Order: sequence, then C-alpha cells, then structure tokens
Amino acid sequence: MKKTKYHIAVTGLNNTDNPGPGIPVIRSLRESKDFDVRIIGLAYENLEPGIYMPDMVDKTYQIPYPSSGMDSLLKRIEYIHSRERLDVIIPNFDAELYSFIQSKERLKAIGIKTFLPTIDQFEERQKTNLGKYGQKYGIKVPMSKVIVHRHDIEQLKESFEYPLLVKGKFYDAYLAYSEEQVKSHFDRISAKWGMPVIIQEFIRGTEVNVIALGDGLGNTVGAVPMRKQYITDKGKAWGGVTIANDSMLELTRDLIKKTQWQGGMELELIKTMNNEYFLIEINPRIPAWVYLAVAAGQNLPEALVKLALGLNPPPFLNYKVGKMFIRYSYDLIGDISQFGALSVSGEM
Amino acid sequence: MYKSLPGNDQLHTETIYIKNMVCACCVRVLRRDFEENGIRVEEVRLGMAIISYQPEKMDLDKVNSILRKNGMEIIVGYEQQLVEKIKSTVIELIHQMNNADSIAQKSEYLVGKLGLSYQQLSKLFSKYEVITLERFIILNKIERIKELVDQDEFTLSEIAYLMDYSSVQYLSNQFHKITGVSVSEYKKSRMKNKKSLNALY
Repeated sequence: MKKTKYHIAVTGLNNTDNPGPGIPVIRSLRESKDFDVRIIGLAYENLEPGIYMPDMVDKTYQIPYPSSGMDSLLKRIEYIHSRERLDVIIPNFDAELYSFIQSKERLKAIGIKTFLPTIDQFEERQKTNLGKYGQKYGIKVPMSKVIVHRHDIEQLKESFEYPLLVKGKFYDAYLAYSEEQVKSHFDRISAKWGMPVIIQEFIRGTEVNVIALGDGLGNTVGAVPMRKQYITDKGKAWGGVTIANDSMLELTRDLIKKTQWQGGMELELIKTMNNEYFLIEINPRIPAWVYLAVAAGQNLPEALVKLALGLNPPPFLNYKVGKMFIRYSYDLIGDISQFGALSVSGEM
Repeated sequence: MYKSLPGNDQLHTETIYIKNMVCACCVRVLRRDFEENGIRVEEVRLGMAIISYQPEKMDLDKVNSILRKNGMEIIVGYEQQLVEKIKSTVIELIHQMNNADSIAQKSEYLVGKLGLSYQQLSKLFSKYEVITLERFIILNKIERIKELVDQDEFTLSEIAYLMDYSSVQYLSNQFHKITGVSVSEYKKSRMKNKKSLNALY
C-alpha cells in the first residue's frame, strides 16, 4: 500500500559542534514505516550545514530571525505554505519556540499543524523559574539566582560556593571558579543572549538526560534515558549511551503527568553520589541526540508528527539499553552557486 | 535535634577547617554529633564547618575532641588548610564527578578551584603529607575503580575512560601494582577490600 506523503517543515539545520536537532529529526522522519515525507528546511543562516545535505532536505527556505517579530515570521511561513502545502512544522530552537507557540492557532487556521508545549508549560520551566518549578513538582533542583547587574556578582559569595555555573537564558553555560571569572562569563553571555543571566549551584555527579514525548493529556508516549559519555567544552553530549534507569523514567513520567506536557522534551539531570537526581534544565523540544532514541527503538519524531496530525500513536513500552552514539564532523562539498541562490532568493 | 540554645546574640560563631572529612557520611555524622553536643551547625561541608555555640559551655578543645572521636581534627595554619582543601577537591573530582570530562574540565578543576598552579599544589602537598599529590590521586582513583567495579554499572573500558586511563591495560597494570590483584581477580573474589578514604596511606 502506498504510504501517505506529508510535507514537514523543520528548523535547526545547524549541524555544527553545537548542533541543532533538525537533521536528526529529519533522519528519524525519513525512517518512518508509516508515512513518507517531503522535508522543507527552514534556515536562519546560509551556512547551516543541513541546507547542503541533499538526502536530508528537499527544499530550503530562509526565515527571519525571531527578533524580527511574529508577523514577519508568519508572512514568510504563509509564503512557504503557498508553495509547499505544509502539513506540519517542527521548530527545534529554544529561541523560536515562543513565536511558534503563540502562532499555533494562526498556523492551524491555514492548515499547518504543530505539537508544542502550551505557553504556560513553556514559560514555567524557564531556567529563571527553576527553583519554583522544582518546588511545585517535587523535583530536586540546584540553587539558582537570576542576576541582571554586574554588581550583583559581589554578593554571590554569601550564598554560593565556588565553582558555580553561569548560564544564559537560552544557551551557554560556563563554570566559574572565582568572582573575576563570573564577571567575564556574565559579560560574554549577556552580550550574546541578553538578560537575565542565571547563576546556578554546581552539582557534582554524572550527567544524564532523558528524551521524552508527552501527549498533552498527561501520558508519556515515549522516553529514553541516556548517560553522556563525552561532553564538549560547550557542555554538549558528543557521545552517549542508553541506560536502564527506572528512577529517571519514573521522574519523567511523573513530571509529564503532573504538567500534562505536550510535545518533545529533554530533561537534563545530574545523578549524585547519593543517587539523588537534580533537574538542571528542561529543554522544551526534541534534543539533538534524538536519533539515539530512534536507534534504541523509539522513533519519537515520527510519533510527534502523528500526534500533530491527530493520529494516536501507541506508547513505546521499551527501548534497547547499551545503544551508543558518537558524533563526528564531515566535510560536505557544495557549490558557491548554492550559497548564492539562498542568499539572493532566500530559497534553494 | 539541637539542645536548647539561646538567641544568636549570645552565641559564638566560628569557621573551622577539618582534617580527614572525606565523604557525605562524614558530613552527616559531624552534623549529628555537633547537634547532640549543643553546637548549632550553620553550614558543614567537606573540610569545613561553620558552627555556633555558647562560649561558657563549649570551646574549640571540646569541639576538637568531638572531631577526634570520628577520626577528624581541626586544622590550624593556612598551608595545612590548603592541603586539606586539595584532598577534598581531589575527592570531589574522582569520587563525585563521573563524566570523563564535562563542563568542568578535569585538568582545570583542581587548579581552578584552589587558585594555584599544579606545581605549587603538588609542592605544598608533599610538604605536609607522606606521599605525593600524584600518588594521592592514584590511590583515590583505585578506590573509585573498586567502587565502580562493585556497582557493575559500567564496563571496564568505560571505567578506564572515566578515570582518564588511556587503555584498559594501563588501568589493569596500575590496579595490580597498587592492590596486588588484577581487576578481574578483585571482581571474582568478591574481596571488596575497600579502604576508607581517610586511611588510604
């Protein structure tokens, strides 16, 4: 039987050393047993490597940065939709999620589906609210403080022990061993990501993550825990292995149930020597290591598309333990005319 | 539970640096013993505590005797305090942080946290201890390896990687040299002769 072909737009094609989830999401969708896909890449910059991967993206369009406002984003999406008849959009950047969540109804009205957290779910898990979040849902979180002025840094020694973490509101985290280092990281992060900057207690332990998908009704459609094996100086997992860990799965299911989480998510946790789990961050989207979950038996992007389309995918009940991923770099060869085409016409 | 203590204005608060505090159990035991003796614990962590007590009932000699009962003692002198900080930082690095490298780069952690070069730390360590800093790190790694082998969560290749050995062979050789048995013999025999971290040498 011929499979239905869905037209799916995907962002996050920056498959760099700080990779976006776009390419692994596309790779997962292309492996769907239930449907075929035409992939429309949505790119912010001309040199996002995913644009130049012909077996991944069928067509790429440039879209405006979130900072240019929702209307200009929607106008562009409407144009792309008029050309491509999009069924689903999967946004993969934290910084763009707010715009897409807010545009959900307008997108739906023109026939484009999304499957994203609600604005309340998105807002309450912000790094700046982590303390309250932990308290509300009964999860251990590191002590955090939001700062907006450089002179706040001097008071940190009263409540924090060094080293501590300095984090940007969307991305970036640095370990600081002294006040001087905090100042330097504060300047760098605030210049790049704006205010506020988050100061967080450094929890010692093993870095573990869970990728999960909630159906918006309190049910966990799938969840796979992973232990990071190799971590870059940007804090990104460059290698990882799926692990058997009932505590992490229980924590995830419990959180999804209590929050009625809708969409993909990544829980970043630290397991301490005392077997306690501290929630460091919730990323409200599919993470870049999603393909490990697919290899372990849970095609979560495929399930997300089904949920977006109103189909009811059955929950994944298990996954393979001991599946490992390791990232690598690879030189793609393109032509300067491709770069030019995207640059001039905004599509390729 | 605290024995009843008067208001803060009648209490004497002191920061003490403590020798041989090596794990979370030490923290718990010390908190309990201090509190049982009417000392209020403002903060306690590896190698240090901030305590408040009534000066007419308690003094540092009595505090020290509580510590000695648990194999610990107050450290006086800046350099000795620093040596104790070196030890607790090595313990944090080897026993509490499992990833081979993370946002906390292992090579930077000791130097970054203590604010001195590795050479300075190493020299200071040798001045007050009977072994070198390098040997102290190796002994701690071996104890951590025993723990990880006992836990059965990681393969030996992963343990070698986590503990910064370039190969399983290198780990095995060093393990044998220090303990007198190979890793597989240790695993099979279920000897489980783990050493307390405050009695490694």
